[in-house]
Amino acid sequence: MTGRFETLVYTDCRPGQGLKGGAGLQFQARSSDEAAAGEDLVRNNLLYEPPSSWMADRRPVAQYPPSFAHIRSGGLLATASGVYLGREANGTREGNQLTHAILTTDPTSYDDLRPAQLFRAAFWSTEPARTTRSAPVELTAGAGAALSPAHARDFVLAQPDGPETLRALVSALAEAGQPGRRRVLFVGDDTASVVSWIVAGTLLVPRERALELGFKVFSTDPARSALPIVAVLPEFAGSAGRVDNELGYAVFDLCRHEHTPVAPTAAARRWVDLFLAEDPRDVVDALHVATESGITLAGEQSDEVAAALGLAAILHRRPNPRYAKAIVGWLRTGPARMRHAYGVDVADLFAETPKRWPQEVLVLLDEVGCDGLVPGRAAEVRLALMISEVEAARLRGAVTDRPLPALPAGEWNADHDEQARQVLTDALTSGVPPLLLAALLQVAGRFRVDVRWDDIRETAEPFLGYWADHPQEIRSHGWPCATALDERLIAVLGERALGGEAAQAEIGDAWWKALLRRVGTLQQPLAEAVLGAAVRHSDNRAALVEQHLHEARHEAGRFSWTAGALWSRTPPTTAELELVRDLAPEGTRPPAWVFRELVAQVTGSAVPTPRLLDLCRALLAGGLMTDTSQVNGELEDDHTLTAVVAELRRGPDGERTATLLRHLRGCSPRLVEMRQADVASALARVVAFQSLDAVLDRHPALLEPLVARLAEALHHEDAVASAVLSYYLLAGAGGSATPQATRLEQALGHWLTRAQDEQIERAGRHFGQLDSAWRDGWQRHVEAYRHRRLRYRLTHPFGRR
Amino acid sequence: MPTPSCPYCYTKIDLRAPWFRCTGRRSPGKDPCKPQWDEAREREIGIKEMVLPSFAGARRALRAVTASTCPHCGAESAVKVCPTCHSRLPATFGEGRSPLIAMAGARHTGKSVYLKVLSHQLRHGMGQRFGADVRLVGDSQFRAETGGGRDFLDPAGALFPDGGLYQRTSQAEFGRREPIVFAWRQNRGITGYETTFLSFFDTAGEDLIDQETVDNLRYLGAADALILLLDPFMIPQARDRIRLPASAVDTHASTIDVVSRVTENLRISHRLGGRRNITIPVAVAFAKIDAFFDVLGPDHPLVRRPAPGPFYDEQAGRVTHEHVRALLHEWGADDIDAHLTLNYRHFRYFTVSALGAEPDYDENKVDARGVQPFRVDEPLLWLLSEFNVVPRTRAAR
Repeated sequence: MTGRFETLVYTDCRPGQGLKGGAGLQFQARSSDEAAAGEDLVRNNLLYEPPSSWMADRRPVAQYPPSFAHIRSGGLLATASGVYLGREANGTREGNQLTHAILTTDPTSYDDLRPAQLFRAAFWSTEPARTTRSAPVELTAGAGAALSPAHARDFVLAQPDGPETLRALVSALAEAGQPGRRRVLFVGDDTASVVSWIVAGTLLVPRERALELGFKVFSTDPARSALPIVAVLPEFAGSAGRVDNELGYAVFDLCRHEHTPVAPTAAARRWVDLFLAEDPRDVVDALHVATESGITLAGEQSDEVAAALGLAAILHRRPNPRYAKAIVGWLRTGPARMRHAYGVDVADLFAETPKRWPQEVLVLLDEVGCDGLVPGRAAEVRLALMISEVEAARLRGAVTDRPLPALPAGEWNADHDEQARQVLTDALTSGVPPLLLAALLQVAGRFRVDVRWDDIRETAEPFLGYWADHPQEIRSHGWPCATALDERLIAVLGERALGGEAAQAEIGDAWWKALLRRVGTLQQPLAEAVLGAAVRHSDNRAALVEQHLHEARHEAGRFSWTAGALWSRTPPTTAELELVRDLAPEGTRPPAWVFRELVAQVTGSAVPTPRLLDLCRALLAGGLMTDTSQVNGELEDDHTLTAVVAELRRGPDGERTATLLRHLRGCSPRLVEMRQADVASALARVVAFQSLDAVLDRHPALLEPLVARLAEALHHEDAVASAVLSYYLLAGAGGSATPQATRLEQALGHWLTRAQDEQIERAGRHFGQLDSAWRDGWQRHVEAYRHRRLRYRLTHPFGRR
Repeated sequence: MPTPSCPYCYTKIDLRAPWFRCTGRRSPGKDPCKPQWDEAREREIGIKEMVLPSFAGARRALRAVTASTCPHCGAESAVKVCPTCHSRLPATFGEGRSPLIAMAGARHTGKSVYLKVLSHQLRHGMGQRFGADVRLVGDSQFRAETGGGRDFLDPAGALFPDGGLYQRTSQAEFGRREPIVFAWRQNRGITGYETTFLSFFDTAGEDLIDQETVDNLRYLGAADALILLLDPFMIPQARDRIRLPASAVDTHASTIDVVSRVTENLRISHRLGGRRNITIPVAVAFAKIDAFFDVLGPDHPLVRRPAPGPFYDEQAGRVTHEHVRALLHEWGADDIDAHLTLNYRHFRYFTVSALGAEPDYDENKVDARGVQPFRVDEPLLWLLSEFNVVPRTRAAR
């Protein structure tokens, strides 16, 4: 103990004896000038109070009990011991007393003592100091020993209803003196007895609280004592001394051995019971640890968990598992000072029997082990944690991916390796269902347990079958025997892939994601299944196809296989076939199924596109695709069509036009429709009547683009032929009011309004090939626009289209 | 009528805004009030006990408010309390003069003995002499320490029953001291009955040792009158004329120092500065005058008792005053007179002897023949006449 205190001595002085120089009651001495700061505090609160009536009765000095008092106020702590001295130093009157006070501003000066334990300590003086400079007091080893916790325990047990009284006292002290709370009033005539109760009570409240709990033994006027604990002699207690008083006192009448009913708090019950049953010194220490720990339960202060921590630290009591998590957490997060002092003991308590704690506690305890707080036991904690996780995996398939920090060097050895392997091998071979086995493998991976393949080979087979069927349910990250398991899984999948298209499709659909990256290492049936499924399901098909075709572009056989694999489940798109056309090395002969869709498009009933026909020609030309008569026929037809159109564009004479239109009539309608824009454009340039009818009969789809083309020409070109064809088509339509007819009618009217007379004349000559009805009809049609033409010419004297 | 001060917290009380304390009785349909913590009581007078709640009564206009209804429980209460400290006040408090009278004097002057004897006379002689009912009041002064009136200072108790004198008076705590309050009730004729409350504050000699502690004595500053007790044994030339045991003399206490400190306190409390004199009446009483009876001779005016009657004998008082002043000059203690003359507007000298005979100083016991008070009442009667509580005879011109 190193606590040092300043001192003050208050007594009746002869002239020159005290600090004020004059005679009378005053501070006679102080240990330093700093001690003067405590004079008011001591004078107003701690001085001996001799009962006036006793002095009047001239009682012998020996009958006056000593006083003992303590206060904490304004940053000062003061404890004082007083005695009655009888007659004044400088006269004959009664009323002299001496109060010796010790003062400090540092609560730690009391070390771990409660102030009341200093009663009758050897340093207390009952005489004035020799000079006005009193000696400071330094607590030495043994101070407070007379009122040790053991003495307090024995004292309480020796009192009638001692334990129950102590529970009530500790409960009352918890709030004594706080605003609106009762103060504690002892009624007794023996200072030592009162102080013993105060010692017992304050030992069982937190140290800081005990220092705050000022007391005065004895006061002649408890009402005017500001202190939370007051003792009064029975004859001066008055109505305040009644246990049923309504003045705000929790009265402990030590003469009648009764007290005001105080509902014992949980803390009072706990600590008093322990104090009386266990080593009281340890219990006080445990209370100190509990108070200073700062531990919380779910973020809130909890007396229970704090007590559990204190008892674990000092009494080595295993805490209730409910609090274990908080306590082990405290080992890493509690105040450094407290952890440094008690952390190892607490951690050791947990590590002694790691298997009894729930997994969440073991996790925290393992972290504590990694911090080096349980030297020599960290591996056992980790093994316990592993066993806990193995059980969780074996029974519920529960596995965490929480990282495991590294243990301090030297904690884990070969024996631990062997233990861990044995635990996991036993679990893995215990016939658990596949999902649980997967969980166990994951646990083994977490703890880096070197499980041997030979030990689990047999167990693994059915698991691999399940895994092959349910790839989504099992993740294999960090497993032991990963290579062997992988090899066996691929083998199982490869075998299954040999089972035909359906099996391949099934495997591909299930595994393409997992195996796509390593498809190059897989056997062909499995690889084909993977690529086929990937192309079918991937969101990035184009890139996938391009990547694999690029990779294979230097080897014809590989390219052919790759193309076959990629489109084993899904036909290629035109762009993909164009990629094949562009990338395929010489000698490539992809399987026929690759082009099946292309051929169907070219030769089917649907209208193909020129791009398809061109692609088809290119693939045939490159030898990539095998030709067929059907495909060849289509390509030749298209060739004829394009030749006819080209010649019609050049404006052949009437006979040649008729011939060409006959060829045109013989072309495949699919191909004419495919090229209808070009065909319509060519037709709009030539004047043909019956042969045009024949073409339109054979290819009705041409009418719409032809009308569109004619209407456009009538608006923008020197379109005599178009005007003739338009009138021919309109007149042949018999006045039908289809949108096409209306559009063509308007376009022809536009042309007739603006055309030169010579153009109209030339057009009319074309109808000379037909009967007079057509000529007359044309003339009437032209005449119908005469007024419009006239107006147009008047308004556009210089011509305008 | 001057505003009275609370005898317990010394603050002025506005009589038009009385406060009451609930009686705790049940009123119909409501739960009665329970004792509760009273912060004002603790703050002002340091009493940390639960008490029934206090509340402000209705302000009065012309008529006196003698009771009010508790706002918490609805019960009517006529228990008056101080609005500031919530101390219980006598029911008739404020209806007449209620001066606070402080006692001051050096150590060993005999202040407590004097107060005890004066209290005894108040109860056993003066009431009858003035046709007044004089009794003790207050709800705490005898309770705390004595449990109900067994304290040696108990004015209701016997006068030194075993002949033992008193122990020293303890110092005031936090500058406070409980008063001894007497109610002086008499018929004032046309104005009817009137009750005057006399609150006496004893003072420990230690409290007057230095200016700092004197300054803390709040009741000094609040006092309406002062009884300054002087010990002639401390005046060397006076002491030399008589034979005294060594134990009777405290040669280290300076009377003039004590008076000076009290003066300083009053100047500060009354905010007088240096130009004006202190206005409260001060009765300056030389105690233990019986020791000088032989020196003065039986015919000396200071040795004669004034004729008793229901009045203060102003003529005798003036004579006494002048003779004491002469004695002071004769004893070489004219510094006291000069100090009083130059600092107090209104003071008067008295000579008193509480015991009437020399006690056994070594044994601290009264004379075997008993207590024979001598002119103990005169300082108080003079003060009461100053407050118009008792009449005075006209002095001869």
